[in-house]
Amino acid sequence: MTTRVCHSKGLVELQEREDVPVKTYRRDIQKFALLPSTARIRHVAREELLIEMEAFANDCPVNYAEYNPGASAGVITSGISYQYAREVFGDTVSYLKLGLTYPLPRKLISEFAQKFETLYVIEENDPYLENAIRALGYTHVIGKERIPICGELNTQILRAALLGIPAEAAYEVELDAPARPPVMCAGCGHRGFFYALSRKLKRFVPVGDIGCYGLGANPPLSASDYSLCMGAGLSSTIGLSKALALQGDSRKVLGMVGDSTFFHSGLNSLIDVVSSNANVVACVLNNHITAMTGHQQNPGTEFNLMGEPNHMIDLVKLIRATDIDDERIRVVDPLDFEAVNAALDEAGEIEGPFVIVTSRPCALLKEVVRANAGKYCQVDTEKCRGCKKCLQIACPAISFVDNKAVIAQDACNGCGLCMQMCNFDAISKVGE
Amino acid sequence: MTTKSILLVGVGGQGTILISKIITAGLAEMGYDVKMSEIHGMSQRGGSVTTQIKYGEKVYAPNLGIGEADLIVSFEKVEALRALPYLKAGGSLIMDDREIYPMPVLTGDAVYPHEAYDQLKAIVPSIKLIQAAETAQSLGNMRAQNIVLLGAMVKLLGLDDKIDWKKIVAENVPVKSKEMNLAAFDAGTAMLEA
Repeated sequence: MTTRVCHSKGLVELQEREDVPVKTYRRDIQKFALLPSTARIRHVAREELLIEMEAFANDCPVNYAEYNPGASAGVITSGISYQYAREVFGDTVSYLKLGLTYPLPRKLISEFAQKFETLYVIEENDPYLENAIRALGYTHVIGKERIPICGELNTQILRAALLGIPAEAAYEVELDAPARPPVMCAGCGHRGFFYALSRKLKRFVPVGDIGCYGLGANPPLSASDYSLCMGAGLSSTIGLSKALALQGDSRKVLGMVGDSTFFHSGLNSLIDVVSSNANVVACVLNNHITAMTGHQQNPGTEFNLMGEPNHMIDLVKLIRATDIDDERIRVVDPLDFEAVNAALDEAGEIEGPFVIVTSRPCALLKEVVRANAGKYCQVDTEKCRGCKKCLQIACPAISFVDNKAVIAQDACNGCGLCMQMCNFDAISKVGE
Repeated sequence: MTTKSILLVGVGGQGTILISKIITAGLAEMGYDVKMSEIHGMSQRGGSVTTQIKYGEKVYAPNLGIGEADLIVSFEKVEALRALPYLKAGGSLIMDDREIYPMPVLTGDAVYPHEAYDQLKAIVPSIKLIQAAETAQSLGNMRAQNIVLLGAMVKLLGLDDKIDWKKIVAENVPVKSKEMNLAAFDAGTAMLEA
């Protein structure tokens, strides 16, 4: 499943919903309890099943050939690549469209492949089909030698790669469009935490994870060194702390996960941090929702994904349950600059595990938007000295006009972080 | 007919996805095969957002490439500039007269090209510059900018009298802002009256 398939919509035909009866649970220890003795037997069964499945793959409705009269070449493809190929070649070639690619329908592929002198294999990224087809002896196939292995395909890339017709822009303008990278929203709690952290990188090695707080890696905050996979914001910190110690690096590893990531797999790693007495600061940046993917609920929110009431798990109680000492836990408002600074300082001073929970609901949550309606910050241009300190927090509501800071009223929700940045008391809050 | 391609470009949070949903529903009602594709990973984080719509008798690829868009609708000036290479020779361009500064501009690392319209007008003389956001604001809510642009776009494509667009708009907006959105749609079509 590629990004393009996941982000595209088309017309489908609706049919009557078919209710499939619930299968009765059946006890079968020999089959389902995979101890070494049973696993050896099941491996044989699995291999037999694969042979049966390949026979099915050769003869199933989602794997089919489309032969076009006078076709100049054969195209073997699957998924979204079929749509691109269809648009590029139309009816001038024949197609083998594969919907089930494991186990590979080798008989079907051979029947198709032997009919064509010119044979294209069109697939995104790794040459999975191509390698298998070459292994069947069809070494004349054209695939990754011409089609890029990186990035998604489209009709233009295929046209250029296979027909030698390059894409050409009809219009060009010399003016450069400045890049528009995604940023933390105005009023986002993460901004306060990352800004404070960005001032303390001599003390900490910051490690991020998957979520809006991944944006903390972008300049000017640049306070997240890497993100590997969901949960690694905590799981990778123990090893890294040992590696830093080995090379005499005195910085403390500071791992960050969001509330949703914490419930997903962060908790397991926090248990490891605590039980191994690792020299790590584990941070849970709680914005009370799974924000980046569009406000899905999680175990720490009031409702479940179906909108039904949830047993809302108290995140801090859960952290206490790992048996970490209470004095090693701090809960702060990430937009309270002083509080965040104090927590980071303590975390850096104490040897061993430390937990910081930042708690501030996502600024885009409906109830937060409602509560902040009419609130905004404004700049007193008399007092503003144009020092640009408020720009360091990278808030999309703050710009600079005629050497003075300007806060866009419609974008600002009055979070007040910029007020804490200003040394000249030039920013005030309206609507409290 | 040959397949037609529309590219909507804007900034996260401007509502490009909602109007692509509406136009897709309308095109489907007219009996076209339609595919829609969008990259919205950072849709609410102020990043660039693009949505592609293709319609015709039979549509295969959901996305379009350089020089392939029959129409580009831009919700913001810089985004029109960025999208220009995708315009087909002789294609149409609708641009809202709205500037939203990206972070590198806010921090002073880049300069906003205020002269974008003049430059675009010089090479695409048929460009339509409209005041969609401003009009939406005067109707009561800047967020109806997308519906103003929808009206303009439907008019430009000559599809305004083919089906009851307002019915589809009404079905896709909150009840309490229905009247304002319908007025926004009318304002959009009026902007492209000959």
